[in-house]
Amino acid sequence: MLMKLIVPVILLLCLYMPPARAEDQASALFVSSLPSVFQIAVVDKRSQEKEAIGTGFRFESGKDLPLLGTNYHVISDYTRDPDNYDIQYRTEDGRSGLLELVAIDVAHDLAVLTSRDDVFVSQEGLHLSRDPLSKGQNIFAIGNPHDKGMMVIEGAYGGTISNNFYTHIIFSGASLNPGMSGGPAVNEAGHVVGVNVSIEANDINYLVPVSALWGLLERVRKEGFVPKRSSNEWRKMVAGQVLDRQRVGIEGLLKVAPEMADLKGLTFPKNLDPSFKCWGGGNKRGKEYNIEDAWIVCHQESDIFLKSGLNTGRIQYGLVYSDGSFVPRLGFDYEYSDGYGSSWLADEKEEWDMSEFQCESGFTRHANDDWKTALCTRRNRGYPGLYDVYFSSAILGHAKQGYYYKASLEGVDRQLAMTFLGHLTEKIRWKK
Amino acid sequence: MEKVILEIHLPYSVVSQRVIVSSPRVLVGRGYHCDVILDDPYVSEEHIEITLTADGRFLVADKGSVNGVFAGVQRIGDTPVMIDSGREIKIGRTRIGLFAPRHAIQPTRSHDGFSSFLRLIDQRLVGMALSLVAAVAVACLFSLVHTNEPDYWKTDAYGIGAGFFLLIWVVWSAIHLSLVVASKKALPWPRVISYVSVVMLGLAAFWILVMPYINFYLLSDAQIMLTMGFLLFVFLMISDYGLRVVCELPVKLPRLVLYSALAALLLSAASIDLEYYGNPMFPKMVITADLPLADVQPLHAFIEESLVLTVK
Repeated sequence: MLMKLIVPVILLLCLYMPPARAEDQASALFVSSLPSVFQIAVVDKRSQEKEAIGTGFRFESGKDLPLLGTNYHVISDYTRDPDNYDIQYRTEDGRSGLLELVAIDVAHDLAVLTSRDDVFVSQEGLHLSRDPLSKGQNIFAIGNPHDKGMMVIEGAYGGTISNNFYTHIIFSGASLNPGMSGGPAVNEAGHVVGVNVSIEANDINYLVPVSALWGLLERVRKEGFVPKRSSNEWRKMVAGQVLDRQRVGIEGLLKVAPEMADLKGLTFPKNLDPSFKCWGGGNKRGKEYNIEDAWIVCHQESDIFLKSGLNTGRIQYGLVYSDGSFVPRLGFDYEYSDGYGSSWLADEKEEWDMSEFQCESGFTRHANDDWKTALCTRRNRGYPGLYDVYFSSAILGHAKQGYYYKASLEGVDRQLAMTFLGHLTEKIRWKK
Repeated sequence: MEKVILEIHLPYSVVSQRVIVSSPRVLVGRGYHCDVILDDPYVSEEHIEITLTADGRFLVADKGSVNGVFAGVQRIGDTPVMIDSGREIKIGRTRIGLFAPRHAIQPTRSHDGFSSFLRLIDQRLVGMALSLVAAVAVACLFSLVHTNEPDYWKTDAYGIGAGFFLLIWVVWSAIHLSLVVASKKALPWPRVISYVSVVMLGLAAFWILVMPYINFYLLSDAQIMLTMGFLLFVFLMISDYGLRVVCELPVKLPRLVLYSALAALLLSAASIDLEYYGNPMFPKMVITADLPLADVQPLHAFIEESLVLTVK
């Protein structure tokens, strides 16, 4: 009888027992991680004021070379002018000191710093996770948003976007704020699973998977620590890394068989790989337009941060069909020329970052038709070896009917541009 | 009866006065006893004496003036100098053309088709009508450029037509002024307006109907510059020749050097790259008609070649 009473009571009690609350878990993780998380600031030596801030974290590595991880974009100002900038750390209790840059990985927006200060030597640092993440699993992003002090933001693992160009972890939950960049994202065990990325100008929020940090550490181990590299060395390294990333990405494209779209008889690769997102649309003849057209444009959603105000690495391409059956031919040609000559795929960049486009034009033969084609190139002034390439081609000989396709590649060299354009144009054919 | 004919261009005056003195000897000065009295403060009381000689030329003597006498840039000194009929001398700020009674003149022009044509375009109605027709025609031509706008005739057409009409009048006033200043000729406005309307309509029609076909074949900046320079040169020659004929001015040898220099100047001004263009600039015109093409390359060969050429 007593048991009959006690069991339901116990069961009821169990039901009402408060579960271990997420906030408690977050605060416990925060407290345990806090000694290993620092504010990172790039300080102008002349004014002694910070120019960029972010977060960095001490992670497990040997005591002879204590390492901190952060984002490349946090310390990018330093790589452009190491003589006039310092990288500093600040602890929550107000201690600060200088850091030295060990290595960068521009493609993954990562940087590794070091210092022999006590605060780093005396601790183990955060563990880097080797466990795979599962969807919905809690992740805690730690950082110092807007210089307001360290805090933790709880979110969940929202999946991984992985393709030939980049791998990003989607952090679903509250958005990361600028200043939290470079901070660790830890799992419930307190192990680092990713690095926060939040770039205000681009409105980007994601985590760089910790595996990218493993890759960078491997390189540090191989190359060793070279102190006091010059700006030229850093920028050359940046350009090389961008080209490597683009090479791997574009060569990867050659291997996948993309889904083909059909735009009024012409085939067109829809998504060359999952890094591309395609959009379509068009105009009908009516009150606003006399000429009908249909377009499909595919572009990559993520690019590479080079320096503030200058990103690179994005590839975009598009195909437009226009039909001017209802207008005079020469009138159609004017409109068609505007479309062919417009540069809606080329991102505007600053004069001091990029040279002007140099263009070549010609008549070309492709897909059993004649085309008028232009190819333009501009040079990155600050990062030697990186070029932007712009391509536009319009079909000829179909009166009152036009097809033109365009492509824009950023941060490539000649060979990569050729590989990509060759691959793209090969796919654009008349449907049999 | 011997007489001397003087064509007097007073300073700052657009028109000249013709003075006929019925004596072979003429005293010119500011004094009221002179045969020809000039209101020019730089002219002396008795400035020069002009004597018609038996062979129909003039002997010009300085009467001890303050500022002297000039035949061209040459100052006439103490000894009198012979001047041919039809030549000009300068005293103070006044220019005086000297003519003998038997000075040879151009043969009389008879009325012909051209003169009646000129009489026709001197009518105000014709000038106004031609300029209006040109403005409407240009608005029609521009509808081709604005093909993709169904409401072109409700919006842009008026602005383009009115703008072109105004432009005709601006060009007219420039030509009118230059004719008055350089040729001392004030022509009735309808004649020059008619000419300007026709020339500008022709230019607009060429630009919209013919130029795209030329542009289609121009593939580099150098080709574009050279072609534009040549066309500009031809346009300057033709329009200037036409203006001289219509205004009944003496048709001189074509001013090749002047027009080449002008074309080159305009082109070089247009080619000065003042602004940074973030966008790719390349020859844009595409014609979808079946036109013959020269030098068609396989696409991959073009890409390969261009990448080498554009990466500097």
